[in-house]
Amino acid sequence: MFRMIGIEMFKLRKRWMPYIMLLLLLATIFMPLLERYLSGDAPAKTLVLREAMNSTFTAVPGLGIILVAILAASMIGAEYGWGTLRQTLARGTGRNQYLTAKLLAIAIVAFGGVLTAVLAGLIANIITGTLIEGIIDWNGFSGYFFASLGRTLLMLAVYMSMAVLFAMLMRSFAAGMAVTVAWYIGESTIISRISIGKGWWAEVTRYSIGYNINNLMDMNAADLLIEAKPWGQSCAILLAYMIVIIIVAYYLFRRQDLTAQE
Amino acid sequence: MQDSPIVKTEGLTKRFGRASRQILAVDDLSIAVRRGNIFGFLGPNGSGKTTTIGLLLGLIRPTSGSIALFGRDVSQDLPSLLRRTSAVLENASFYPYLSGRHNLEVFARMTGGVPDRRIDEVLETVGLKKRAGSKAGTYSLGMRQRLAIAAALLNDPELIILDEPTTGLDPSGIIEIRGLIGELGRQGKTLFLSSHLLHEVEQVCDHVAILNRGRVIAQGPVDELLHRGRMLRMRVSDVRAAVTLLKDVAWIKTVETAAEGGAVFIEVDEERFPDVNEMLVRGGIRVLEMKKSEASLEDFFLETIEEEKEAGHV
Repeated sequence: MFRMIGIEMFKLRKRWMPYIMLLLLLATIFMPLLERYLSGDAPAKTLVLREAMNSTFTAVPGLGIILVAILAASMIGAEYGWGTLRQTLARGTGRNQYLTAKLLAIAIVAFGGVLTAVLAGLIANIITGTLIEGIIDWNGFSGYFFASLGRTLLMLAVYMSMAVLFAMLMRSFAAGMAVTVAWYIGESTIISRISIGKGWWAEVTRYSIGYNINNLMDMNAADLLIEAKPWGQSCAILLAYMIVIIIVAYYLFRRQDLTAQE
Repeated sequence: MQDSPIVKTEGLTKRFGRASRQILAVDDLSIAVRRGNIFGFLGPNGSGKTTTIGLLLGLIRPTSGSIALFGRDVSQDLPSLLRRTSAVLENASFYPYLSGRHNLEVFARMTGGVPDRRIDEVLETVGLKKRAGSKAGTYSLGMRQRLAIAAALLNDPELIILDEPTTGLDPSGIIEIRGLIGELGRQGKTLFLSSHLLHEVEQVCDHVAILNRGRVIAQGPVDELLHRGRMLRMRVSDVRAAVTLLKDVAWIKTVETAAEGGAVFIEVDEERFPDVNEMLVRGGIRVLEMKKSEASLEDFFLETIEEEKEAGHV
């Protein structure tokens, strides 16, 4: 298994895609900080780090979900397109082993990217805090930081598993990516409208992926003044979705006929 | 030669699609490839050769029937059986952004236990050493085919499955690959060569199976099949009477009928052909056609396909 993960990492290291993605992610984090620094507004005396990290923890899952969908769909779908999936399995790689190695490799890269981006945001915030000669307030930071990081990783994991499933089902990078991104944007938009209303449909939407993603996004954006929502249930629902999606992906992949086109 | 087949299928059948629109790709296929054989798997395009290879390699799930590799059912432990096998699949495929050498490194690590120097050896064998550093996406079809053969040789397999290995190669490349197949055969490897190029198969294979519309219509040692190919082929008004009449004639070596009973084949010296005709006519059997079969696999293949058509199987 470690050998297969190593192979996946080797293949990924040779592609430009993960590097471009990381640059995009870092750019979204640094832009608001740069903007704030260049704006010339009177700096606050105290930098509340928990508040300052809000922008990072909003930007990372927002863009990160789309990027992880592209990455996961590419790592699965491209192997169909190139025909390398058949070559790999014909060499004695078991299907479970193959899919597990892919999932773990995507998770390592995606989570590594998130950690890099979040740590870069943290360092940048501390530096800008020092530049404006303010005092850094660490109060309540660690709890918020780790909870937001955990929520972000969970949000990414749900869409990662979804992109893997769709790319595998459609045997295509482009189709897998398009359906996952469309699902993310479409469902979130529709759910946010419906869930405001009353009635059974509004209640049902509370068990959708989009509603719970929105909920966790809100929690990441929340500062000290906003009353915390109960987000444990959202995590449990998303975790359940992720597990079901992964089980379905394994089941279908084991049964899939790989004809000469793949 | 050992007796236990390296590849054995029994009643192997594959249907694609749902019940209402099913396509029968492989129909009750039973073949046996023994250790050291160079086994030609012949058939026109769309006859089910690539599907059969997909079934052997576990890429496609059979609808029914069984497959055994190295004497063990593939449903028991396919990955370990495949590690003793290599395959050159149709449309050789690689990671286009990796160099030829890096592609081989990836496949070597997948297989495990392949020393680095082996990569250089196989690159040398297929004549790709100079272009090993170039990205595989820039390779011509012929170069990709060579790289696929190199990848297949990495793990020193006992069984090598080749699906149309000379596709895209120029004439000199085809001769080289043919030589390589012969060399692998001499090393004692078992080769399963799928092709629609009859001349290619005839030159390198010792056993063949001919596939048409998913069914095996003839199989056996090439010499035996071509032996029939060297016979006098006759279409007569009464096959059974003709066989009864000819089988006891001393100067006729063998008398056989075609698989579907449409023709009679006899092995006889060429100067006796008029005597055979005369004997049948005197026996009240009308001779509709007499033809000396040519000794090429191509003619045998076409005749067999034609017989299938006449018998209403096609």
